Amino acid sequence: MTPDAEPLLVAEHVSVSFSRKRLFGRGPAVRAVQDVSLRIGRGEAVGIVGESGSGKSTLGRLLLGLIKPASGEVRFDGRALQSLSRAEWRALRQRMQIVFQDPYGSLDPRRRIGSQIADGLAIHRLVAPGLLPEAVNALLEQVGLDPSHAERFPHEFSGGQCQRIGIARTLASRPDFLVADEPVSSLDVSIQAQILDLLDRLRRDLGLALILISHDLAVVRHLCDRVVVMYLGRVMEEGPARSVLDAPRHPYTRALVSAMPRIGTGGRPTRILLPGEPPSPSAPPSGCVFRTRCSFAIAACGEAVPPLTQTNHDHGVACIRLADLP
Amino acid sequence: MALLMAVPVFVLGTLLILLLAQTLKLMPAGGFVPFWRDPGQHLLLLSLPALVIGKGLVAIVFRMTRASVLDILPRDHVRTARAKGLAEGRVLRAHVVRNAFGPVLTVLGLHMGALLGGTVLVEYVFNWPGLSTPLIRAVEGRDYPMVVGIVLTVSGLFLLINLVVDLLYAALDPRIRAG
Amino acid sequence: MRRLRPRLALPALLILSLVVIALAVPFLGLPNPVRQDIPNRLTGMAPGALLGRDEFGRDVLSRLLWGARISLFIAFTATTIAALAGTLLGLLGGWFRGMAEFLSIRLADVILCFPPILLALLVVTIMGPGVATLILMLSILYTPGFVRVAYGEVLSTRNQDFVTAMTALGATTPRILALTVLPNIASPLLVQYSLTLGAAIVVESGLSFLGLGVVPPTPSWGLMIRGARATMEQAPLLLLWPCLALTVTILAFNLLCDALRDAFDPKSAAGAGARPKPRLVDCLAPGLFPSRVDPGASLSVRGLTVEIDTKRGVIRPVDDVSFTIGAGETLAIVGESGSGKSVTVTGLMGLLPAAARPVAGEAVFEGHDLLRRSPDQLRALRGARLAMIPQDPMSSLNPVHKVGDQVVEAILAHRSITRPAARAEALALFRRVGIADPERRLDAWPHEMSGGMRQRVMIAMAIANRPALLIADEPTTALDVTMQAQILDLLADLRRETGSALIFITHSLGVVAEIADTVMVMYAGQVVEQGPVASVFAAPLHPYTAALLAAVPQDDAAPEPIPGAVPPPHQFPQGCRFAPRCGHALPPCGEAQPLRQFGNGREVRCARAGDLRFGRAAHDA
Repeated sequence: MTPDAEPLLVAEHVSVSFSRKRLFGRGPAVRAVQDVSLRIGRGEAVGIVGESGSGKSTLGRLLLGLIKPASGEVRFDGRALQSLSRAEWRALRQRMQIVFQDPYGSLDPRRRIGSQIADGLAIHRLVAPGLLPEAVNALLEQVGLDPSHAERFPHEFSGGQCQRIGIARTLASRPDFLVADEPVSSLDVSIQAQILDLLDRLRRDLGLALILISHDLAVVRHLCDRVVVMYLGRVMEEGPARSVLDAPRHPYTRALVSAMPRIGTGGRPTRILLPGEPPSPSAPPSGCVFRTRCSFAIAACGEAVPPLTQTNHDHGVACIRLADLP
Repeated sequence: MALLMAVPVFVLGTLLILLLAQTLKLMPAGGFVPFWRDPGQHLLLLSLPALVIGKGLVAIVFRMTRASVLDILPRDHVRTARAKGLAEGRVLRAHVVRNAFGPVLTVLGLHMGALLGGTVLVEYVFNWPGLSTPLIRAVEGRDYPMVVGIVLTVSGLFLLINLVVDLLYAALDPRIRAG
Repeated sequence: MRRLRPRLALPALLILSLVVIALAVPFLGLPNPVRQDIPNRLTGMAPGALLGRDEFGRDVLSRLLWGARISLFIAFTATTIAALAGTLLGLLGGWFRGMAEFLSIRLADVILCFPPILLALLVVTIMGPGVATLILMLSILYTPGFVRVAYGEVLSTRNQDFVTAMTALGATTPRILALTVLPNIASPLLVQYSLTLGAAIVVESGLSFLGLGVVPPTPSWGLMIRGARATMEQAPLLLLWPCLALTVTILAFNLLCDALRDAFDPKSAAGAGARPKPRLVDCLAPGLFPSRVDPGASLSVRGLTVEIDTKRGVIRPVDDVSFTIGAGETLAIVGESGSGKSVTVTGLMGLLPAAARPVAGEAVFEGHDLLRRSPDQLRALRGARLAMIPQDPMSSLNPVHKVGDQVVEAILAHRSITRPAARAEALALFRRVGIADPERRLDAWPHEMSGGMRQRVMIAMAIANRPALLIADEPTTALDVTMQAQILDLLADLRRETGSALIFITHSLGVVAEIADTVMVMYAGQVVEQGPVASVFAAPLHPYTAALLAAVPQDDAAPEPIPGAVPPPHQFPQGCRFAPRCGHALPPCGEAQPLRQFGNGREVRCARAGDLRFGRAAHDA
């Protein structure tokens, strides 16, 4: 990435909150994503990690424009998503796609997979109608499936195969930006590796920018150039995947890394157990949202939201006690 | 059960009169005697219409309870109850029937509407002097205020029943109270 | 749904013939249904009037069939109008929300506030009786039903991933609604359609019966019953025919509705198999087959085989599984979905679903074979000596009871102590499993707790009666990693404290390394390898174990995929079940392989065990 060129996708201080409708008025607002800034270069792979309630999935949908931010701005290829007309929007959709967690839920159970894959081609008129079957076959081969399966329905496939079909559908519109939301977490271990392999290969072959949302740090470390660690809707730490995950600085990242079960004991950091439970996203703590479970927290942590401090090599940590940490 | 569901109340009522009153001469074909004048005859006359109105409810409650219990049985918490070593009777009472009750109650409340409507027909069949005779006369005579009055009264009753059902449901299921 | 089941075919055929008759009535050459013939009134069956004549001497058969035409015409027209209007309103309300939602749903609610017949009478008062009134009134009456169904279905469909995917592809809203949403909400609407047809006929005939529906002399079943009532004494049969026609028609619509609902409902599609055969021999003569009991073992399982009856025949999801676990030990059973690991332990607990049964093997626990105990004896063990921690703490607690009561219930099921004493124990248990503010939490409802907290409640329940063996079925899979770390720690602590044995089922090799002493790797219903965790992970003997270890991304090693997928139980290969996916398969692998001893407590089911080297051993060589 050259520093002067605008990255493919830029998010600046985006926030979004949801509230449930109640009988009278609205319930408390759940602050799903708060003040997150992010940039993704062309062909770059960025991992977003965090536990449930961290807002990582919401952030993914924000970046795709499937959810509108309450404040802040998302720019894709230099254009602010909010300012686009409906038609411009639909045209832009062609370039940004999403892969879902549930391989079965992401496919329409009542349509043949061939016609579902063809949707992207047909909607954006990328190939002549007569050439659709050929294009679909090529896509199926690209994701490692037999082209003769195009006439089958989703329930005739295994979870891993459905995930391949989902990927083929996203590739149909020839995107240059892909958000993969926990693409392997509902798959078996042996199948996970197949799908990760496929994603990695496609990304390199097609020059895709990839956002990988995952709770599995090992997957992110393997696939991504950079990683963003989220907790309760805020970014705790970000930087090059290896440097963040091999030498985490933020107390939350440290706990998260240490909690990952590992095969073999070699080089395993002693486990840091976080006390208690994550607070409710509808009533996050003041200041640093992690302070209620942090063993390094001091009174000052509750006063202001800690800014993301750059340490070295684009490595940012949102902790005011960074200098005092062991 | 399916047959009982299918036969409309006025058909059942008419057929019962044909069978019990007309052919077997076991009962009067309908009519009304005030309770204080002859309690036995009053209840006898009441029994057939009540039975006919109740039939729909029996069928509905049977179906709903069955469906609801079948829905609850394979759930995880029932397995937990068995894994605790509870006796089967207790598993069914405390962990299946208790949970199955809410949906049954709701459907019951909603069907009260059809029941109240069915009453009009059944009263007519058995010559029971309830709201139906003035109502039908009012409809025939296009007595608009009268019809509206009766319809609103009965609808109010229907709404009240459903309010009670909702409150009962909330008492049965803590999740409703929270939401 | 490809094949028409008889349940669906019968009512469908009946309704089809009714429709055909109704359409063909004018061409059947029947006598005019309204032509009176007073001299011949109330005559019985005769040539020229097969079912006799009514009180005005009209032909009953002709009136009956013409009545069907009128009834069905009214019902189909009104239901179709209601279905179109209701679906459109529900679709728009559910998709666009906001104002469209408010208007369509509130409108439906207002109509639903009135009992149907009363609302119908109101319309009749305004418009006067007649076919047009009936159609209009029935359409109004049944539109809300369709609005509600369509609205509810759209709400649940619109958040499905495949709908989001269409939005992400840039499809236009009409395209999404017509091609994606509508086909997916069509089945419940079809069920509602058949339900409404039946209901419309009931209301129409009821009103005609009251003299407020179809206007005489037009033939209608309700009117015929009304007329026949007056002449009940002279001609009871006149009453019977329309009653029969009406009831059979409504029955057909109801049956069609039920059959459609079952056909579309995925839950009922998974057919329940036959009941298990009672193990009569074992009930009569327990201990007929003496067991080789391993002294010092908490549980010793030999040759456990479970069969399940399915539509595709009998399958064996668990085949010849043997293992031993000593007191205070932790055994991890690891495998992918479909490996049979959950069925194995549910079989041991006696909690298999009705269609499944253990057909061979023994499981000796505290001197008795679990597979041959009576249901009552097993129940006395469950929750007491043998306890279970489930995978999903969300659904495993009963939502309508307080969590404290559910723990108390577990204590009282096995010990005769007072309720307050049991409650005091529950409090101590809550404290032990690390539930903050235990006094208040005893009276909490399950939905008020987080996943990690509920799993602690499940653990408290499991250890309430100090079991000798604790079976945990993927207890941390539904939890976040930091929660998982807490629960794993708690389980390890408890095991040290109580000395109970722990069987831990998981698909995560990392978790195995964390918690277990020995590991048993299952593939397609069989044990492929078992032994001490450290030695199995350092030098796996089975190619599947090695491949599983290599598939997990860790450190700088790229994960290596295993080609293919676990076969479903009815397609298990004849020989070695892993052979089709194995990179080392040779001709002998086509034969079924036994589980072989391999020294140091290791066992493996592989023809090439010993000549293949994996893991660290391979690198050292």
